[in-house]
Amino acid sequence: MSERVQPAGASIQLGPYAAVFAPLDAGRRADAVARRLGDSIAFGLLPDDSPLPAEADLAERFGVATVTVREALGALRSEGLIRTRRGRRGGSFVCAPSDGGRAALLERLRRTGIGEWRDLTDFYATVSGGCARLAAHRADDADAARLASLAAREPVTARAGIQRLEGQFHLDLAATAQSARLTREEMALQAELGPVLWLAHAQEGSPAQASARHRSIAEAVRDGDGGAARAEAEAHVGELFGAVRRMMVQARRLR
Amino acid sequence: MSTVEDSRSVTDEARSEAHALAARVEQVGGWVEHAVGALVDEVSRRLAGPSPGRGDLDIEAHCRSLLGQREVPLAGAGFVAETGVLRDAPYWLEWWTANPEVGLDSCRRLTADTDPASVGFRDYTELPWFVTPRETGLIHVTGPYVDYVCTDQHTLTVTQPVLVGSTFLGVAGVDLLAATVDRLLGAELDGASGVHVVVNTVGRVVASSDPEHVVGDLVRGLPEVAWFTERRRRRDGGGGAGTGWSFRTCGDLPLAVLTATSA
Repeated sequence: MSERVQPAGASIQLGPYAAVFAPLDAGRRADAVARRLGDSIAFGLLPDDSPLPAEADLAERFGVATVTVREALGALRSEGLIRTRRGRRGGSFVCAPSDGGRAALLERLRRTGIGEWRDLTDFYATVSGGCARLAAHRADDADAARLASLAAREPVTARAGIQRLEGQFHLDLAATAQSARLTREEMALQAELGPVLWLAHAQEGSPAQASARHRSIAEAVRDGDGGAARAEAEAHVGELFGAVRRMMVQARRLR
Repeated sequence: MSTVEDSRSVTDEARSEAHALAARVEQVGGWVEHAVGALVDEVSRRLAGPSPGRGDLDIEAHCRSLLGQREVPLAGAGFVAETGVLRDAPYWLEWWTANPEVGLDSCRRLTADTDPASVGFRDYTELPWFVTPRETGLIHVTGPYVDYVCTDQHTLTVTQPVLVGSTFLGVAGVDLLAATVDRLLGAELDGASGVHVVVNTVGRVVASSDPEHVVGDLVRGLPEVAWFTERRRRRDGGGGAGTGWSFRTCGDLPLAVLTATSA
């Protein structure tokens, strides 16, 4: 899937990347801003040369001071993840990795260790499974039809396509659970874990298998079978994590 | 208002509570319908010329005034265009949001993705608050649902088609938090002797006097569509249902008050 360069002067649209730009907890600040943006860029999830929102806009989005954003952008610039142009059409622009983020992911896996990713994935499986179970109890016919149509989308392998497919399906699943808190948690987890999970899946996963799980979840929700919905969602997240494990093997070989 | 009751199995007190509750729902709903209607009129007036563009819309002041009023505190207001209607954007929406507890000071324009080529673009023309008014030509209440795009909370979205002649240009409408509705109905719900539940046409709970029925829950087993159809055919109601609920419509709103019947 080719990624489209945004027209000069237009800031990157936040809609699809809402999770990336979601507000941060207090503390961490500049590092957290840099990591949130940096991950998505390094893992090739933001289109090359797309302009970032203005500093003031980012500050508002993340809920930090403009000076904090400036500090974070400085860090990203020194890592070669963004370039900054001056002038009327100036601003900060994404430098997407030429290998689609593979090297960055391997480096990240090597540095962080599998245990931390497993812990985060366990949490995600719990949230996702809980959403699926509640969705099965609370979905009306229109909800079930919407999930079925999202699940029926063609499997994709492109990074950006996976982000859309996985992100959207699970967000709608959370909303169908009728839980605002689980929906917020789903969004936060997509921001924190999504880049790793989805990029690993793009590199080593099985799109057909993921699509089949989405369909099974949607069917269980339609049938009001909470147990099956939860089991399918947990298995699905487990399979996504399987791709992270396989990437980890490669990361270790490079060590 | 009309009722379909499990005959005589609701106390007079509960019956009168249900009546007052339905009247209040109708009053709040009527206010919202009127506000949405005025917004629709403004949008259709602005887009009435040949080949309208984004610049013709200019509804910010109108939306801000809606979000600033305190009678029915709103969480959002705006217009969402049908694809290809505006000459300078295939997809376009102008929507302002506010924290209804705070009002105008929290008002901001919703940042939304309107580029169909972009990675995570969500085609809003598939979403129920857009699809239904387009298909029916009528004002529609979506929800309560968890609105992750905008309010992040249980929300009711009221949308009405904007038509110029017979051409569908999009939908205009408002967002109302379920929590706001609950508060607006507080006087009728709090301390009620009967169990009263305000539901939408599929039985989704909007507000209730009983903690057994929480916003977002589904009341299962209602012949809900039949009830709403019945209402249109025979406005004075009647007939028993055997569901454990007495059913009372709220004017022409797609909402109803359920009152638990004694066994």
